[in-house]
Amino acid sequence: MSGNLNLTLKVWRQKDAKSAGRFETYKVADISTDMSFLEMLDVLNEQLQNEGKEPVAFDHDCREGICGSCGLMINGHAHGPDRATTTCQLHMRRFHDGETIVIEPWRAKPFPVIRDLVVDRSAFDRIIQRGGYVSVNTGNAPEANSTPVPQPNQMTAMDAAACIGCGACVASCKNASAMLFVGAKVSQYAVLPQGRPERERRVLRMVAQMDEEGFGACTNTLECEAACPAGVKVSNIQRLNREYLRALFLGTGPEPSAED
Amino acid sequence: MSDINLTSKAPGGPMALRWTTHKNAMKLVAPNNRRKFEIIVVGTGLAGASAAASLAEMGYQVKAFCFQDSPRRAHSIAAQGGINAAKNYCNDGDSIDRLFVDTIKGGDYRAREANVYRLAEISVKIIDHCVAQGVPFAREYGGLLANRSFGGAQVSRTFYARGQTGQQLLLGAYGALERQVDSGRLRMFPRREMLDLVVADGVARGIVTRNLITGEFEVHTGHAVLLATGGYGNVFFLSTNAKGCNVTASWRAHRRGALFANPCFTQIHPTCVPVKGSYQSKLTLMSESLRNDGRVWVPKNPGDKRRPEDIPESDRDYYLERRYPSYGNLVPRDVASRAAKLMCDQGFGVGPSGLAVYLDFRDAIKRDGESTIRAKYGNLFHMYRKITDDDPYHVPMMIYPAVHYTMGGLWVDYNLESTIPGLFVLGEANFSDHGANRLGASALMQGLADGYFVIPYTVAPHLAGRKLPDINADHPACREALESAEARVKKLLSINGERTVDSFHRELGLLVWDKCGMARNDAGLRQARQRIQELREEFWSNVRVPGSGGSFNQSLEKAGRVADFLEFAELMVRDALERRESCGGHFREEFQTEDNEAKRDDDTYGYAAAWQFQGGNKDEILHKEPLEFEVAKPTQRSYK
Amino acid sequence: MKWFIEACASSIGRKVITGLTGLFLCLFLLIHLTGNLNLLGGEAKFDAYANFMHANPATPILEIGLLAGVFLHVAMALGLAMKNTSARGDSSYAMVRSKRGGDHVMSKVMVYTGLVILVFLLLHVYQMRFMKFGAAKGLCATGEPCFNSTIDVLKHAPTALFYILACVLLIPHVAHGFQSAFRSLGLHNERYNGLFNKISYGFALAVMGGFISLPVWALIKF
Repeated sequence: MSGNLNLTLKVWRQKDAKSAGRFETYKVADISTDMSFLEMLDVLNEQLQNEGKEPVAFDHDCREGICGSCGLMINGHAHGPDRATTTCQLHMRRFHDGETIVIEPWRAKPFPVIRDLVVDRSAFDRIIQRGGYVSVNTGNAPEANSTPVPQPNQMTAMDAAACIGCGACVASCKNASAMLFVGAKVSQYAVLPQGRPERERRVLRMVAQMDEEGFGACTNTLECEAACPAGVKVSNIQRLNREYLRALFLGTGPEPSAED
Repeated sequence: MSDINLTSKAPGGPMALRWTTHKNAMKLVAPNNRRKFEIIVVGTGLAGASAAASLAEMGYQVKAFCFQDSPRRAHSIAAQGGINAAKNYCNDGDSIDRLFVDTIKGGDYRAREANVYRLAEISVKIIDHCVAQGVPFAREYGGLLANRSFGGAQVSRTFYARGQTGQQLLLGAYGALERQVDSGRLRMFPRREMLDLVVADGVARGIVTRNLITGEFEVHTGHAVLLATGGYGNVFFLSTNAKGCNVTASWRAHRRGALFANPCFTQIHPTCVPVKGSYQSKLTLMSESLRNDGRVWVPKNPGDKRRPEDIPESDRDYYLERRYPSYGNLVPRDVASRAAKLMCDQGFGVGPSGLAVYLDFRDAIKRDGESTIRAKYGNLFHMYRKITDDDPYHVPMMIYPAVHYTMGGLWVDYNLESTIPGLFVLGEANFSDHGANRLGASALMQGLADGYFVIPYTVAPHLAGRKLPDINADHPACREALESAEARVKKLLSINGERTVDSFHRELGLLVWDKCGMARNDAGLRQARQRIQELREEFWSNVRVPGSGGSFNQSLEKAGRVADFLEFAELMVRDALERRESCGGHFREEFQTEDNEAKRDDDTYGYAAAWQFQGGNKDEILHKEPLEFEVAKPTQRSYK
Repeated sequence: MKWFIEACASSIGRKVITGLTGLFLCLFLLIHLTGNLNLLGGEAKFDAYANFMHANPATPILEIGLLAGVFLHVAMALGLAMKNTSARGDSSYAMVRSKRGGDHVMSKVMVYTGLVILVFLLLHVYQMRFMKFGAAKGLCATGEPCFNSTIDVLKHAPTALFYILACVLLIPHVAHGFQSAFRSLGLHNERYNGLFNKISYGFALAVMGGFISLPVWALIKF
């Protein structure tokens, strides 16, 4: 049922990475319950601009829950109160009239704030660079059906590959750990025959990069799983640990091979 | 500039051998020479990421750019349905020839035959490559790849990864790209907006970008420039595109001399969640597979305010079944979209805005049981409920058409090279393969075909065959492009008027949606053209862009994009005016059959319309590339 | 050794070492408890047990192993805790709530419970090994009969209370640590999640209950 809300917003404003930030309080009126959370912020931004102020910066793109651009800490919840939902798919009917909503950026040392609610998540890209792929050059693939993949493995791989790289796992973890993100990518390739040849090298290199970026370590609070909009499970972290130990004992070092 | 020669460079001979013949005749760049060439790739969707990765693998130095914070977020990621390939794994008679003919016919005979054949031919290799990359395509119990039928195709040739095929394919290409970053051959520049193209001595040699974090302008030079910057659907403001999708890179290249082809060919998808209010920021697609079981209807009495479940059978008009008895609810996208619009225009629309029709699963649930329907469409019903708060198991869905894809784009030859030498255009940004209407599950196929398997070959003749003297940022062409980009940004910031960027964009969007959307007519298009000019003028005197140019400024980003949409929109309308026929997504009300179907005029309009920019407010000049159909002979479509 | 150094430097390696040493210490707790329960059997039985342990040439080796285990466990855990604190960065959330619906007392207090237990451990070893406590003679460490001295320690009310407190704190520490260790080792599996949790709590309660019974018994009986 639609209705309209008047809300108080406490929004984190920060000019750039170097400046100190602070909360600003804004009022928005007549917010339709059918709006998405980001549309509510659009309304705020139109209002601010019409008052001659600078709008609140926030990352967003597809607005259908798949690109992973958006991500806000809303009243202490990554992506807001709903499970399996990105900020763009969160709707205002989840809030009530007169409510105060606290909106913050992801906070983690490896995710420095760029401006307001926008953070730099390039650390994720650098982790992927170290092994989030199968090293196959265009042109030298065999016939697609030459390697059967058992359906359960394909399902497990798909569950893990559903990660949208939004960073909610890091944001919601008290240790700012990226192990769900890394675990998902390592898992996807660990269970597929295509990923096997560079299995050890992949996990060692990705974990080394993850550590270098300054992410914390998992202490099994399982908050990441609850915050993940794509439903990625913590069993992927266990698989990451397993793969890491396996690689460590098999002794295939993380060093790049000669032809690299 | 005036002596434009639109030759496709596609070789003659038997259709099936053309691509091979062409490849064999092309010049090559030897492996040890490749590292001497620097290639600029703008956009990192399926086409851009796959091209950047493949070229770097071969040994070229590549610089890739995207406006998102990571290449993984390009809008290819949102494609749901699947990717076509003529593998014939289902033993149901599919073949390269059949995929080729289907695509030509689906495009309503406005695509270039040789390109489409090559696309069908390459489709099989794409699947091989993506599987090798670890893309988790759906599989049968035996471990082999599964296929489904999609978009009314008569064979099952669509490969899919749940409802996230675009995401999985893009993450595969993104991984390949990042692997090349690791190798040191590829440098990635995220959060960069391309603001201009550098054309030196008639050849595309670089781009001007703005760093979206710091606001700094940068000149990047290279030996070739590849644009893979997607479509222009956001000219309509509301579309299923991501918010950041824009025409700026293509339009800047167009202003520098690249011809723009068929801008009026836009695809309107029939099954989207309707607009709820004036605050709406984007439209969400519901897979068209829903029409397999859902029945589309409106009340027989205009303005019937009863709840849909209270409207008896006798007061419902299942208009698709009534008008198209044999295809019923499964008519092609363009037909279904136009029919919905017609009903709403006549006052039969439902919902608060009157711009929606019902898609009802009541009979399907009665027939098959709720659990069967849940198994088929559970995730879509869930998504619909999330957005609308309505439960489609009990209340009919409301749907309305929305802009989804643009078939038009920069004109390219068989090598994907535009009319500016050294400027190549890939994926949705070019015009070549889908004619006037794109078939479902073909966009992913084209993006990856261009990036993985066409451009790695076709960039070589340019690099090996042309003199490309060293160039750096001090070259007069670079300085000129840089200065003009800087001046434009400065101008945008200095207007300091009364209206926000979004308010202009919304007004433009409504205007073109109304006059140049699902149905167009001469008078409306003329009005639109007039109004666009006025709006553009107002924009440049009354827009307000807060903040500075030297920082992260999303209003400024939008302002630049909307400014280009305001120029592009006029060309789109102009093209629609000029094409006095109906074909595919372009429906001119004056040109329809007695049954309200699109009426093509192959003799007069059997060409690709390529427009040449003339500078300032001068009218663009139309050039025509005649389209010849040697194999797939044109016929009229009928769905009665 | 290369792998060991690598492991010590990486987050997962540290988790694994913390977990492995933790499990080793759990095993020790079990053995220690089994031995200590001899106390309930009276002076003769307990002294015989102490004597047996003392005469056993393996004991010093085990002691060194135990010391190394404790050291590694503490060093790795503190290293992880420091890394985790720094990963959150300088600014923290103004508001943070659990989406999972649980609080994370168990996980959050690991370092603190751990530190209290460390203090207890030092005190305990000092009292039992190096200190002549109360009137009774004889140190367990020297192989002399030590039933009476042990009872003296346990019935000393402040000591007994601290021992009980430490054991109570060990319950969440062991319960979370036990299942966490299995996760870190990659042995956890969605199918057995519930079972692992039950085993963890059961083990922690049983072992700690056993230990707590000793000072309680000493306080009541003597």
